[in-house]
Amino acid sequence: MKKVFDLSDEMLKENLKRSVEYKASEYFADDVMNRIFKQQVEGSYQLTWKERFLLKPSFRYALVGAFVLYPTLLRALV
Amino acid sequence: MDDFQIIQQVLGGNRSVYKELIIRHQKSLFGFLLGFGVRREIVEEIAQDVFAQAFFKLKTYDDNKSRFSTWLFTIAKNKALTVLKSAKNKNEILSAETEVSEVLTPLHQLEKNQNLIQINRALAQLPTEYRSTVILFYVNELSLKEISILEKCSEGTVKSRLFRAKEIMRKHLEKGLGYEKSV
Repeated sequence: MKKVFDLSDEMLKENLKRSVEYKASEYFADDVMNRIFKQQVEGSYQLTWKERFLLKPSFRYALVGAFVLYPTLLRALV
Repeated sequence: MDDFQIIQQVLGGNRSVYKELIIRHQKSLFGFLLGFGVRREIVEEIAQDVFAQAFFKLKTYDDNKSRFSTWLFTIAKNKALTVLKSAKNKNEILSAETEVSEVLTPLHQLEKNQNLIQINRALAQLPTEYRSTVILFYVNELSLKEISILEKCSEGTVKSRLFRAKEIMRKHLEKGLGYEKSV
């Protein structure tokens, strides 16, 4: 007997959802919050240059300043 | 309280309400990461990283551009790709293709779980960008537009990825598993 494999959207939705079902530990959210507070206290979260540019005004000013001053400095040297 | 209100409160200094966002989105995030091929044993660790990263980047979130969940998946996708790339031994990170959470007892359950295993195997055959598109569409139920924002491509590309992904899965199922016809 030929068997038909149903690959309809509904079947995919149902099966894929079941295949990625996961029951997290009940303390998961608390663990994340603890991790965040720990990183805040330690200052261990390292921002990328892009985040520093977006979040830290001082970094932004320094970067823009460097762009502005670079041609002036170059002219002064030459 | 909706996601945006919670975010405003967190940014305003009431950081403990972020826990509500975690509880609200953890299930879909786990689904996304597992669909990406991350092992169950390390999925919580990566999800913790994603939520922590999202917390520290919260100021950069723009609610006009996307829903919070879509933004979260963008971070998760980058994180998952980094973890998968940097893993020395891919088997430590990638999930077994045949993981099923239920016990095989009654006959119909057996057949259902066999389907699940086969679908998982077919999913594992997909290229990363196809796999994430399939998971975002079928599991996380994001719209084509939301997926196109997340994947940084057009809606047409998303549609074509879904179509091609289904074709690859169909071929895999027909070829390797003895099924002779797909719907």
